[in-house]
Amino acid sequence: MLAESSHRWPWLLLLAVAVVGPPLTGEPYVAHLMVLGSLSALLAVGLNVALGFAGLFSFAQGAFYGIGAYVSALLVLSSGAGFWTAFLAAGVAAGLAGLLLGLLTIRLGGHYLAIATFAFQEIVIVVIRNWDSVTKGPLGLSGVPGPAPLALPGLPPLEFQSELAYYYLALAVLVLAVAVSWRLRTSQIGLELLAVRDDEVAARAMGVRAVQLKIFAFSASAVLAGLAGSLFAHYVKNVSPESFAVATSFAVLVSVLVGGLGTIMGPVLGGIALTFLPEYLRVFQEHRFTIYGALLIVVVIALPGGVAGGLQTLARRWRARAQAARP
Amino acid sequence: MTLVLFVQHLANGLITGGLYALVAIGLSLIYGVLRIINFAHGEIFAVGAYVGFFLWRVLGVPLPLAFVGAMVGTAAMGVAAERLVFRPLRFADPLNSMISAIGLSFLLQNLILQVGGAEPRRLDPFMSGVLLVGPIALPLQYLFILGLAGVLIAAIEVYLRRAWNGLALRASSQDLGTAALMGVSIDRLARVTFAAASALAAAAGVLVGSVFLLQPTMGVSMAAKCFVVVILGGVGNLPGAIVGGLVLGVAESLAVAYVSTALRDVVAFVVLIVALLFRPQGLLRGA
Amino acid sequence: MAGARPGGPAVSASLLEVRGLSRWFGGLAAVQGFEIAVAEGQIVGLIGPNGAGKTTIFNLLSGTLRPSAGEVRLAGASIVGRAPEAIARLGLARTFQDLRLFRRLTARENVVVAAFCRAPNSLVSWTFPRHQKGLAGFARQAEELLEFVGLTDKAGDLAMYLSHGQQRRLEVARALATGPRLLLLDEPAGGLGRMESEIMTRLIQRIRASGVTLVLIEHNMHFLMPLVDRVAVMNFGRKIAEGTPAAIREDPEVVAAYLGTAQARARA
Repeated sequence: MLAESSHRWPWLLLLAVAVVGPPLTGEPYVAHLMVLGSLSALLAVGLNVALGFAGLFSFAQGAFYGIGAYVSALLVLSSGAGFWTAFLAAGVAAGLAGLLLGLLTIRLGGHYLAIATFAFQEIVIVVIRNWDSVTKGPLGLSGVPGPAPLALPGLPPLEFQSELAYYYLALAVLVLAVAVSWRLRTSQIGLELLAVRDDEVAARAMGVRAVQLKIFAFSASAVLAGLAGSLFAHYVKNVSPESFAVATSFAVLVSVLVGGLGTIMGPVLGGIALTFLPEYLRVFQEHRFTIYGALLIVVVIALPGGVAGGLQTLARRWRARAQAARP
Repeated sequence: MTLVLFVQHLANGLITGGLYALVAIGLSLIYGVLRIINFAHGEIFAVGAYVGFFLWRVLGVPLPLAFVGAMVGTAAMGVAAERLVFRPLRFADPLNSMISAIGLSFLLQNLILQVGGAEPRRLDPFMSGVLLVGPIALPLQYLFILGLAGVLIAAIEVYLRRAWNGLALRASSQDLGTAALMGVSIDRLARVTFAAASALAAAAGVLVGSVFLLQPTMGVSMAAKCFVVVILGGVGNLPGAIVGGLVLGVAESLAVAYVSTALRDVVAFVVLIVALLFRPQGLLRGA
Repeated sequence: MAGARPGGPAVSASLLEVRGLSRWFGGLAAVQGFEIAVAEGQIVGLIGPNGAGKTTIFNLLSGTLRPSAGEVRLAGASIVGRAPEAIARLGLARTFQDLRLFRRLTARENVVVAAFCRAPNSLVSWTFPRHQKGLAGFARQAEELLEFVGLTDKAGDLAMYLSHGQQRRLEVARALATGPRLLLLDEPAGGLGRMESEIMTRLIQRIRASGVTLVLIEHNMHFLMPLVDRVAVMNFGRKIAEGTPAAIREDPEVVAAYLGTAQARARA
């Protein structure tokens, strides 16, 4: 597991492709998809901190995404706050919601958290849908302004009007999030979280502050979702409740599982892949979610370790055979 | 007059609460016996409603028969779902069965959408007319639903208590391994559990359709409410699920009547937080 | 208050002191009125038939289970009702009879994570750039402990892929990494062959020589008796005898308890 961090070049290569790839295609639509892909990846990286590192069953990532989006949009629309303030506030608001939910449920064990987050997810959406005076109900908020140009000393002001420019903003946040998640994974806290995931009783008996750590991991995953929500709101300019429904939470879960639970880059790749995949499966558009559901069941039963886990098993077998073949 | 109104709201709340209880009991039963959090239970409820609608509207089956047909058909589907989706994962990591349940809920929700269409549907009421108790007018339909919910819940209780079934279910609520040692067939237990839970959910589905509306997404918010009910009543606690359902139903109804209609769904949220804060083991712990 | 009991051992020198420890499950007493005093540097054995409450006592001492009643003092300080992680920090470590390793971590990571027990709170320190360097010391200690239990060549293997005997030794190394004054070993020789048992025996002797006090649960008397200074015998949740190994072998109540279970087993 630590081996993942020992090679830097695949990551740098990936980053290079991510930076250079979209402008090379010259298609604004590719940049557009990459914005959405980066946001999915951000959500997945967040969920991975809770589920992959700490083993916390969280089904509310869509709700935290929504809280971030609405807080950010409402702040800018009603109080005239700037994008950057709203962006940070979105992360803080989602994080606080996560902290509250975590404080209430995490002590009670994994199944309680699963049930409570599922209920929380749906209720947040219902509240957004019905709180007409603030959220404008099912129609949602429109006319959310994009970020103002960012003036950095010594540089021309950075504009975020085009898809491509916004993509670089999203990518920068994503890279930062991956760096934080990598830092978490490879430091003391990451190892402690993995220990808690594997056996909480034993971890506590070895002095690991399991409850604190789990609440932290859960809140951190909510913060990342909140930041993603803010980026989403100021990109699409219209926020309506449906973008944050339970289907979103499940889609995030699927991308983490497909990409590889508990790995650093897996959720990123999973999030981006699952944004692009439907574009190439337009034939199935109507039946997409039916197929999605069926695939989910088949994958879980046939490959209990997830797609990435299955590939790892294959790779291990292949390596073993290669070693055996050596004289 | 205010008392009359209050009783009216109370009655409304009890109806909704009774329907919550019907669905939540199944959820709690499946968790209590098999330790599966069935995220697809809301969709099973929706399937039941649509099967009833299909039998009644398309095939012209009389409503009471369509009701029974929906229960039977959905129970069969529940058994099939257990066999195909959950049994292969019985001893796997709990995350896997949760994901499998999520997959099933995607699948069912979209099947309903494709077969039943996106537009809301409506069933005829089971009965018309009102019962006058002094100044209070109670629609017979409401009394019928409440009575029927009570009868169904009692029937399930009897069914679960019956000879070996009752024994096995209570034994295995503690521990599947022990139950297996006692010679209980886990496969049969799982079948019975899913059949009972699905039939109850289907009954609730048809009843909801005769009072409110059918929609492909009706299962999602029902499931969320019922998870709150299950936490409120104590996870795996059946009497708790009934009490929890009624409490949530009445709380919603009174909040809507006396505070604001926008509050209906916020109530569930408040109830969830309060329950987690003060009674995380459920209202009826130790009962 | 301690040390006032006439005829008792010199309690003031006890590292672990337990009085009236009880735990009920529903109406059933798993442990009732358990008392023991373990002096610094001693090895004490805890024996008794299956279901006598031995592992429950470990769970109560380590905070995994909350006692229903009773007093537990570690180096004079009460630890009853404290969280398991706090008790571990106070210098009480344990192993698990049913081998609860971090299965998907490597052997090295299993030990390192336990060594973090003595690091500052990770929630505060992880954001500091210098934090990463500070961890190197713990990694070094982990290597030493793996060498101590003879698992150096398995350091990079996932715990789940180790053999049963290696897993038992990894449990010991992990518990030692927390830097305990008192170490509770739950059936350290459970399921081990003769060779591996001997390795474990030597390991325990070396742990004691390093100044750690030990309490052992063990079924295998040939393994246990030569190792320990004193033995406490449990039956039906109560302590029925305590003394030197020689005295315990002669104790009629102990013989009856063991003979009784042997007869019951023969009948079953």
